[in-house]
Order: sequence, then C-alpha cells, then structure tokens
Amino acid sequence: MKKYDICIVGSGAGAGPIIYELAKAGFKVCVLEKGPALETSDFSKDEYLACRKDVYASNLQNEFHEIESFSKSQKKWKLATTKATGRTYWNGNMVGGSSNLMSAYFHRLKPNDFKLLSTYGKIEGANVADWPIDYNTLEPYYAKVEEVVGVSGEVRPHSTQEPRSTKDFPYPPLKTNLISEWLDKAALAEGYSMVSVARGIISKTTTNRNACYYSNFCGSYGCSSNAKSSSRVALIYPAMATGNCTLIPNAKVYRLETDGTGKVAKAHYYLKDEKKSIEADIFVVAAQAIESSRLLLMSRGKLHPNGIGNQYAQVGKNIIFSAGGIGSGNLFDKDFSKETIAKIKTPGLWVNRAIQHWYEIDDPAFNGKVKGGTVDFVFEHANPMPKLMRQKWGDNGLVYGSKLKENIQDYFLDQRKIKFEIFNDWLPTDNCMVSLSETEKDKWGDPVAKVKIGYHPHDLIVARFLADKAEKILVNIGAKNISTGISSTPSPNLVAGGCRFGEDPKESVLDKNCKVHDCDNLYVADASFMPTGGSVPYTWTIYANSFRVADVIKRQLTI
Amino acid sequence: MCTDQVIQLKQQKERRKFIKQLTIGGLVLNFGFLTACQETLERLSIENEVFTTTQNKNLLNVLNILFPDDGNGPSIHDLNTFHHILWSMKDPYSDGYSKSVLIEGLDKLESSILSSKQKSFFQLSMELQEEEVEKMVKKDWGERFCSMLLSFIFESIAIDEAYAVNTGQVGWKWLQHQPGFPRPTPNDLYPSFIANHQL
Repeated sequence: MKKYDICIVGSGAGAGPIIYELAKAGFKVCVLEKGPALETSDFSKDEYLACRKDVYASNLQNEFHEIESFSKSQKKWKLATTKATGRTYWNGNMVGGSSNLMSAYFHRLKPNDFKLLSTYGKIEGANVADWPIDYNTLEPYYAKVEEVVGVSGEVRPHSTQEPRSTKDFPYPPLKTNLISEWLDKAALAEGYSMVSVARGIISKTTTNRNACYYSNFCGSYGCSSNAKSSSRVALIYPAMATGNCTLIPNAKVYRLETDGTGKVAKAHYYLKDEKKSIEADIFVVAAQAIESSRLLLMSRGKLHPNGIGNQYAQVGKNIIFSAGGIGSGNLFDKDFSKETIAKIKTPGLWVNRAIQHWYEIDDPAFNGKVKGGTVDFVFEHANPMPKLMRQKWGDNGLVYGSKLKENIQDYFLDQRKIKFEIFNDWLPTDNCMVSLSETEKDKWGDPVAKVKIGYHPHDLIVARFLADKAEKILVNIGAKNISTGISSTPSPNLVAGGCRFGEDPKESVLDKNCKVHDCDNLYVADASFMPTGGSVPYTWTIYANSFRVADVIKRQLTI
Repeated sequence: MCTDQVIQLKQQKERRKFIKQLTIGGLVLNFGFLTACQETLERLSIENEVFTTTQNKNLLNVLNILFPDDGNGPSIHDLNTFHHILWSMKDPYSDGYSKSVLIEGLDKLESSILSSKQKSFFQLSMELQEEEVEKMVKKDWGERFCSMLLSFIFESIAIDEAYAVNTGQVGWKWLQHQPGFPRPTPNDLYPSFIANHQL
C-alpha cells in the first residue's frame, strides 16, 4: 500500500481540476474511479449501446437507488428502487464521469445566485441560504475554466450579463444554424436580446485536441475529436502526462477510515470484488452529489459515529436538482421555402441561444422581485429512436399499421423540431435529501442511497412564467404545435447539494473552502457544496469551484 | 467451485453464445441467405431456443400487421426484425422483462383464439388476424405486448446495420436519417463492449 499526497474519489468535473492542478504542482495524486478507463477511441455514435442499453451508466441490477416520491393520487410518500422502475439516477460511469457525455451548455452563475436569501428573502418551506463566497471570489476560476478546460463563445451584451475579468472567450463561438438568427430577431421584437450560449466544446484545434466536427450526436455520447471539454480529456490526460498521477479505474470506494485524531487515514475500495485500501495525506470526495453523501454517511468511526461531517445531521440534506421543464414546436417544410427549410434542416450546426432576460423576475404576477431563470433553445436530438417512440401512441392508444408508417414518415421528413429547456432554481427543502436505505443493498452488500425527491411548488410557478416567454419566441419564428411540459420530476443529470458549504457547522457540512467541518484532511469537491444551484446547468461552476479548492489544497500541502 | 462461480461461468458461456449469434446473424445477412420470404418461413417452422413453432408464426404475423409491407418504406423482413427479437431475447444482460412480456402476449393471444376459433392465430385469414390484433391492443396485456413489439421494430429501423438489422440502411434511407460518425466497429458492439471494458 503506497502513500500518496492526495487521494481523490471520482474523476468527473469536480475532481478533474484538483487532479490536474496537484499533479502539475508535483504532488503524488491517486484517483479512485468506480468506472472503467474508456478512451476516446472507445466512443462511437452507437445509439443501441449508448441510449438503448445505457452501458455508460452503472448496471441497475448491481447498483441502484431507492427513490422516495410523493404519490398525488394516493396522497402519500412511496418507495421504489430504480432497479424495479428502470429509471436510472446514474450518469457517466467511467473515467471523467458524466462530463464525457454532457451536452456542455456552459453558463456562469450570476452575482445574485451567491446571495439568494439576502436578495430575494425567505420562501416559506424552502431552506434557501446565501453562499459563504461571492461571485468575485469564483470569477477568476470561471476564467481559468475557459482557458484550461476549454470554453467557446462570444461576449454579447444582454440585460443580465455577468461581470468578466477577460474581454472575450479563448475559443470563438461554434458555427450556428440559420435558426439562431431567427431567435435573435424574435427576441429583439419582444424587446430584449437573446444570449449567445457558451459551450464546453472547443472550436479550434489545439496541440492535443481537435476542434468540434459537428457530428450531430453530442449529448449522451462520448466525443471522438476530444473537442468536448470532459474532465478526462482536458484535465486527467495532462495530469497523467506529468507522471505524478496514478489512476485506478473500476475502484469503488465504500468507506473512508478515520484515525484517532479524526482525520481520514485510508480509503477502502473494491477492485472488482477484492477489498483494497489507499493511504494519503489529504482526501477529496467527488463522486457526484448523491454518492458523495452516501460515502460520508457510510464512513462511520469512533469520532464520527453517524458518518464523517454528520455531527449535526446535515450530510445528505438539501439535495437539489434543476427545476423547469421542456417545450417544443415544429417547423414544417410547407411553411417555408425549399431553400430556407434546407438550411434549417442542415445537421450538425448548433442553436446556442438562450433567454436570460428573466433571470430576475420583476412582474406583477409575483409579489415583488423573485429569482427567475434560463431558457436554452436546442434542436431535437438526432437520435432516431426517441422520434420513433413518440409515434407509438395516439389519442386512442397504440398506433400501428399503415397509419403508423405514415406518421413516422411525416415526422422525419416534413418538419424539424425546435425545443427549449427551462432551468430555474430547485429550491432546497426538507423533502429533498439523501440517506442510507434501511433495506436495499448493492451487489457488494452496502446500503444503497435513498433519495427523497420532494419539490417546492414555487419552482413550478417560475418555470411556467419562463415557458410563456419561450413559447412567444417560438410563435415569432413560425413554429407550430407549441407546447411545454413543466415537471416536478427531477432530471438526474443535474444534482447538487447534500454537503452544502457554509460558515455554521450546525447548518452546513463543509466550510467555505469545501473542507469537511469535522475532518481536517477531507474535502468534497463535486456539486455537493452548493446551497443553491443557480438557474443554469452548473457544470462550469463545478469545474471553477474545483480549481478554487485545488488552490486551497496546494496551500495546505505546502505548509 | 462455489455456486456463485458456477453461475458466473454459466453467464459467461451464455454471453459468448449471444455475441456469436450476433456475428452469425450479420454473416447470414451479408451472404443473403435470409433474403427470401420462403426461407424465413421454413426457418420459423423449426422451434428455436426462445419460441415454439406456433409462437414463431404468430409473432411474425403480428409483426406484419403492426408494421405492414404496404409499399411505404421497409418491411419487417427488410429490417430483419424477427432476427433482432430472437437475438434480444437471448441477451444475457437483460433482466428478462421484455421476454416475459412477449411470452405472456403470445400465450394469451394463442389461447384466446384457440378457445374462440379452435385454430391458431396464424391459421386465421388475414382479415380475421387484423380484427384480432385490433381487439388485442385494447386489452392491458395486448397493449403491453404490441408496444414491446413496436419498440423492437423501431430498433430494427433505427440502430446500426452492424447489429444485423436495418439491412443496407433501409430504415435510415427511408427516413433520410444521417447517422453520427464514427459508426460502431464490430469489436465494440453491444454486448462485446460490456465484456471488453469489464462494465
């Protein structure tokens, strides 16, 4: 058993910057990653493998979650395992984690996101808290992500543009479809400017990475040109090249063992089915929010009888997702000229437009100013399976026979669907949390995470408000069949909280540097630290915060 | 050898067989052995590891009603859907749900026709078969069964021809679908991918 300077559990967006910075600084780094070490050449655009068989997520027969959700019809909380329902809460199970599979819509949080409670006040039934750091503290790290991890985009003025320390993005914006111009004009007609969305995808080739090749199959798939700014490609490969980083794939950490002083001494893990352990001076957990809470709760010792960081029963509390919904409209061939629709149907080119004009809502519909959100516009994914599945059901049940074939043909040949995704704050509540299941165990015999997925009704009201604005835009560009589904069911690919950071150990798990309050050599660096999630996909913030934590750890190791 | 090891070895053996069958399916297609309807019917008269002869025939007839060869786009035969279903039923990583739905559907369909018409489903006239499918989709089990079959049909339209479906990209061509690049290579198809990467 070799002793390392630092041992990191996980290798996704929360882990990558620490792995990269510490290895580059000359420290001996060990990475324990539950998934396999897939390489760029292992990825293809195989829909059967990636989406139908979900091979990039953990196998639900071996590892699963217990989900507690409220049944409106039965008016009670009900438990079900994801093994039984088949609805997975896993994301990317591989080196680099789900950053390999992300769509990479990159948004910074805005200054008010760091002080939601003091800006907008308390909301009854929600555990909203200010962050212990402000936007200015994180801003240099957002800029660092643009440069080191790779973010493409353009700075265009709009009503909620966040402050920047650099003039523009290091990578120019990706090429866009004609529809982006239409969206810009439609927003101007409504009296505001559309946001040009930055992407965690590089638009020009570098020494080790090729530019985006517009494959038309991005989200849910690994990138074959290394343009996507995954933790694996942008950070772990360079860290490995230093010779200071040891990567152990297929290593599932099940317990952190503390010594008599309360510090973590060892990480215990399964390598396949063999039990092993690693010693290090400092440990970092970045296993994605649900699993990070689970690991801390499973790591009981003399000084941590209820799990590390859990002296005030805060571990697992205030899990958040991203609230919102999805809307869409169809652009029918018959409504446009042949030349125009051919341009709209050009595959590969991005939309990269969002509404953030109502990131803060000051509208008579609400009692005073409230936090709003973001609406990202995207084309329907190129995967044919979901498009086909959508044709299966009609008003009177199953559709089949020649009618089904006609419907399929019309859908594929006579239109293109433009969608929008709404992101607004999933307010933290007592009904959204992680604990250890009392009855369900994984293949190794360890309790699985039990996730209670309650939501706050305010989330749905904000989402509906934003949907109305987005629907107007779709009307303006000539889309038909416009509709939106606002949902209280969380999307498992955006999960944060559970180990929120704060000044008061009685109300938080981590201090402002993401070190566990009651453990001097343990940090949690994935999205677990976030007391609130902002109204955007928060991958960029996870990367930025991990760079910030890396600086703290470097200082601790050099003292 | 403990029970776990025996089970593991058995699973490994089944997985190897499953992968081999995919390869054979692909080869068969490449050599065009299954291009004639008659040959498919002869093949159906032999009981396979998944379905009985009657089940085979009933299944093929239901598939052809759900997705008829009506001159618009590919047929079940063009897409090699039947082969895909047989192959999927033997997936060693499957939890067995889809197989149980298909077996339940085939059993219930056959028993209801036998009791009402004293014949097997496939022995009915085409008109009567269509009437029976119309009745079947209104029942819970029938809707479940047909919905599952439609999912398999859709897979045989949408997924890469390397899986021995969507022959000659007939499904993609019909829908003017442009696949992503790179396409999968024979070594990294499901389920080899799982074994190769120890998932």
